[in-house]
Amino acid sequence: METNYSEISKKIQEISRKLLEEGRVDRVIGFERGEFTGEMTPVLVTDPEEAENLLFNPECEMMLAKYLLDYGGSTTGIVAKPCDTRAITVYLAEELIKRDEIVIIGINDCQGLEENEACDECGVRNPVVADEEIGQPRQEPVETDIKDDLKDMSLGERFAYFQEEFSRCIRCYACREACFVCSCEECFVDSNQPQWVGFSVGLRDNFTFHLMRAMHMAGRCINCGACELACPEAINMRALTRNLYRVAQEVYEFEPGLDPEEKTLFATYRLNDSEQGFLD
Amino acid sequence: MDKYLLPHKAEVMKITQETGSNLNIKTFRIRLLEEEARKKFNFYPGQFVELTVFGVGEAPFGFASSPTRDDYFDVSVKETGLVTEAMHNLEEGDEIGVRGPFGNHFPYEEIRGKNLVFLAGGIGLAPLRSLIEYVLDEEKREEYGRVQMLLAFRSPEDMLYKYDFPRWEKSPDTLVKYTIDEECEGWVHCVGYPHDLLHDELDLNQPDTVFFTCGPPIMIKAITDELKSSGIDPSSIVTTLEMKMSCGLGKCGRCNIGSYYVCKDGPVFDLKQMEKMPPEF
Amino acid sequence: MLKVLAKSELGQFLDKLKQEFRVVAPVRRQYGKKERVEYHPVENSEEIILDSQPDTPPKKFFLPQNERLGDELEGETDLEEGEKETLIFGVRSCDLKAVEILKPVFLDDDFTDTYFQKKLEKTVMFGLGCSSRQENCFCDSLEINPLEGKNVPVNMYDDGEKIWFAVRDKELEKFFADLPDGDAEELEEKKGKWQEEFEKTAITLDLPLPFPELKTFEAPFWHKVSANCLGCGVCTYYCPTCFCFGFFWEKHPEGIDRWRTWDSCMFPLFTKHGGGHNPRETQKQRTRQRIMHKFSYHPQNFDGVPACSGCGRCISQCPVNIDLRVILRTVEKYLKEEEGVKSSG
Repeated sequence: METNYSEISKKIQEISRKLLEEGRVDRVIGFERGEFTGEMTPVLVTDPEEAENLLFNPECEMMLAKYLLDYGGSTTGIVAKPCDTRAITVYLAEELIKRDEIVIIGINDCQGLEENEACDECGVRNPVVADEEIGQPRQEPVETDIKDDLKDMSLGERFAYFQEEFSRCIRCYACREACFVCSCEECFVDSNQPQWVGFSVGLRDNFTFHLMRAMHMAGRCINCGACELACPEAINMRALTRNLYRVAQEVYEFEPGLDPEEKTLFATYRLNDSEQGFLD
Repeated sequence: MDKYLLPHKAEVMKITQETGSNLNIKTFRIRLLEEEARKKFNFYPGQFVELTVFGVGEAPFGFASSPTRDDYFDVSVKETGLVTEAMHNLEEGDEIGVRGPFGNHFPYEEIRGKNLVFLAGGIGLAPLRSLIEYVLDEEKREEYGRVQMLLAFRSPEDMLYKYDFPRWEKSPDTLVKYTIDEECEGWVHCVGYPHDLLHDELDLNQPDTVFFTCGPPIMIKAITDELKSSGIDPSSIVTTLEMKMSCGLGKCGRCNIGSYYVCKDGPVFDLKQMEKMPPEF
Repeated sequence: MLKVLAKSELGQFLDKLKQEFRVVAPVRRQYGKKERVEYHPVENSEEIILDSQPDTPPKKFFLPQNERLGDELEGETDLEEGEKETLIFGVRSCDLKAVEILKPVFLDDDFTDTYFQKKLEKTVMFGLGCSSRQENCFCDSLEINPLEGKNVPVNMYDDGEKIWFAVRDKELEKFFADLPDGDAEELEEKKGKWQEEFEKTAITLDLPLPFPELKTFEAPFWHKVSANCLGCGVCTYYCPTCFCFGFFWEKHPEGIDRWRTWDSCMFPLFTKHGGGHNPRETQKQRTRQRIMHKFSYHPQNFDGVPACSGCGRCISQCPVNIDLRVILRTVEKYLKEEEGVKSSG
């Protein structure tokens, strides 16, 4: 059955208006269409009258969960794709947000986004957690595989590949800012005592940035693809993080963002944990 | 390299450990190595320099000594980041780079004959010391009226330039008061924040007084508010702003507040100017 | 002198130019799924794209993202003497205006920036009149003529089949001598049509420039217009006029060099003091700084000219599609309402 996006949008509007009118939330984070660009953009709605601007469609590619971090201490409604609910789940597990401060308007039976290649690797098509659900949940599971594109590359080839990709990086940090995992109060890049990464946009510092960032992703990244969507230079940085996700899945049977009670990969240790590293 | 970006070679003549408790402040006495450069290097109280620790980077520091000492200058450095940490690791005799002087200066000529009040907080005393030393200089002292100071520090351990104070106190027609944030044993001076104390501790009723203040942004705001509400003319309240000056040429953008670039149009501003600026410092 | 060139003969024509210049033009590049148009030295004339605005501005030729300024103490510079002049083939009005905006900043009498100056002196730009509105651009709302590049020796037009050259510089005429003359009336007719198209799609902005500083600064809408901003530096790094920079030092076997690198007012670290205090701590403050610098502070310092040429790249490249035009409209509306309250009250 074809997904009826205008129906979904209408539901979002109704629910948001109600939440705002009844004072259950101080704001709703969702999407609206840009006046001149015609493109979807995240919006914070505080006035019930403005709820009618909220829309949902396959162009709504940005992750909204990260905005929740700005509004602790007040209540926020959020339009959430299944990946957003996974991000929220990670935040809940890490106690970065409070469950009673958010109202999750979850979208069932996600069809994936037009632009996002990561959606092809995602099997989570219904919200992991939601207060309001829109649409019928998808019943049959979706079988997907995380692409293992580094497998057939030698170490030298991998290095050459990343060299090519990272040489384009202009260090605008759009990937970091779009990434919900990048929630550190101060990013290692922004520390000047000690200074971990140099200011140049040379290969050396670009590598340091992307590799160090990737190390922080393991066991927390949900492979949502927000980093690549945000990157203006079309750098395939998921080639790193996607593989970390795959390794965590294969070696530790761990997938982040599915259970708020489950601790993150690096916060737990089991005696039978595998000693395998990334490079095998 | 553009001459404005090329530092002069200089030597650290002397390092004085000022405070060492919760803030680590050292004062560096610096002398340009080339005689020609030294002769041309003229600065005024209120201006600043960019100092390079070779291979590490550059940071801005206000002159903390009087230009009447024409062989050298002092800067006081609080250890906070990459460059200041590297500076603290220097030893006497080490070489550093000096770029500048940059910025405008205190109106040391316009204030001739006037009474002066200095209100300083912590290391904010450093740029004021340049002007204080200038007006208290034996050759200049009689050109200026009464000099009063209220010098605030977190605690007695955080006082800097203690070795100057006896000399300042002895200067003719000069009153120096000290205050710390919280009462402590053995402290015989004032306790409390300077904006709360200034009416009681200083004589503010003298006509033709110019106020100079420097310290943490929050202190500057509190003091300027207090002075203004006491009816002091905003153009007689002068402060020096600290932003993250880098190029010194009004281009790199870090120190931009409103239409001003603090490194070029400042760092010295009077309250009349500041009231027209966005409060973003 | 008005000349025309069949697009099929572009390669031969560029070969002539290449004898004297390093020719740089907008070319298509494929990165993964993403297709981009960027200024690069031309290897093959078929890769040149004149009908689509380049994703990156030509700013990098005057103000590279990373620029070696020389040994930190000796100061010799990188520029090699005798290097060929760079010819940038096809620069649109917005990007030409952007260079004009940068000039007084870097070529001021007090502190002339010789790096910028030398690069500019070694560059020739051929203007490219726009024959259609590009994604999100609005130069015509800022009193810039999209059809007529200013301060260029040659202004070109691409009508789909041929390229027109309006040659204004005697010294460059030799390159065009072999080409057939263009019919001025025919070109005017085409320009008239393009002009009409622009007028139909124009957005009127009635901006009081410079924005009144304190009144705009203290306006209540800044939180709203910055609430969805991620805080990355894309808008500033793709901007043809943003010029904020920082220095860094790099050791190499023979010594230590001082480098200059782009920096961005959108990053918290840009203004954060070593001691931790940050005058622009929140995203709201930083977004406000970007807009106010462009439309209030810069025009105050530079004869009323805003530091924006309406190219629209900040809009097209923004990961969350934040629209500068919407922000400008918001400011405009707010100031009008304030004015109304004042005059009626």
